Amino acid sequence: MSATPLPEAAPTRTGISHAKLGTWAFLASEIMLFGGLISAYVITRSGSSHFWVPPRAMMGVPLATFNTFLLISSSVSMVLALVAIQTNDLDKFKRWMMCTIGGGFGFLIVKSYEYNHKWHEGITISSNLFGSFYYTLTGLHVLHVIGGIGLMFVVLSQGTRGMYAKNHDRVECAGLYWHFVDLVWVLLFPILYLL
Amino acid sequence: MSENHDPQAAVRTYLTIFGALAFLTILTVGVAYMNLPAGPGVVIALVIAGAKIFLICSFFMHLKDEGRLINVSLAVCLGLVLILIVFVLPDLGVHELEELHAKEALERNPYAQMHNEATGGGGH
Repeated sequence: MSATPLPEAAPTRTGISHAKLGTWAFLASEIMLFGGLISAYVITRSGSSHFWVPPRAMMGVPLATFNTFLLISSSVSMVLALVAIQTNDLDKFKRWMMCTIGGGFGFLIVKSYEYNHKWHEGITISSNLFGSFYYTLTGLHVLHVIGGIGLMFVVLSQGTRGMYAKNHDRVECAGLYWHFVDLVWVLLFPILYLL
Repeated sequence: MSENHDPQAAVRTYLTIFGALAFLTILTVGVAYMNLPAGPGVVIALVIAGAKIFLICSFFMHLKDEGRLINVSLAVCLGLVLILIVFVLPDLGVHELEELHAKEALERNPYAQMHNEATGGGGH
């Protein structure tokens, strides 16, 4: 079923569409959210001699590395979906959006396995400071991934119904959000798993 | 993203960036398993993470094509996050120094510590 295409973005004083400016403002608030938590982790870890860090073998580095590849790949498929919608190639758009969503689901599956494994290893949210930070930071990130997947489904559905024939701001904004989720993981991966 | 770009060229750029990100991820893990001393290990891992973030922001989020408004706003935002970390570091340094002094004092006079423990003194 086709839908009415969105009108072209109206010109603005800043030269940036309202949707994009709003998305960047939202991402700035997200930077402060994750920045605050990450700085609390860094300071607590470096300031307390009682901060226990699990050995690397307990952290499941290979799985986390695989998850990093999944998110990076889904970021690439997202920009390729944007290129496809900009060239009005709906088949490619659908394919790349499905890859992006698949990457997100893959990340969640690996993460749920990892959580289960860690919980049984004794790393729980109340076991120690590391556990609290680990589950808070990665849990918040997982919530963002879940939100992102929902957003991708909406964009995929609207895109395939032809709503973005003239205006693809929503694809670009969804992409910005998804790249931000990837970017946060790129930072969380070394500080939680490798250092 | 500017729509005037050649789509084929854009796709090639994205795939190149993907290769660079994959390489940097492998490099991060490789360096971690080299078991370098804590200082250099942390610096190298954060430099690699910074390089990856730069690539994602510049190419996937198209920050290199954005105007000053967005770039400056984000720079302010990052500056504020750095304040959260950097402004607390001197305090951590003071405590480390206190711990070091206490350790040195203990090495000089271990009996004082034993006396403190026996009498229940020694603060918290």
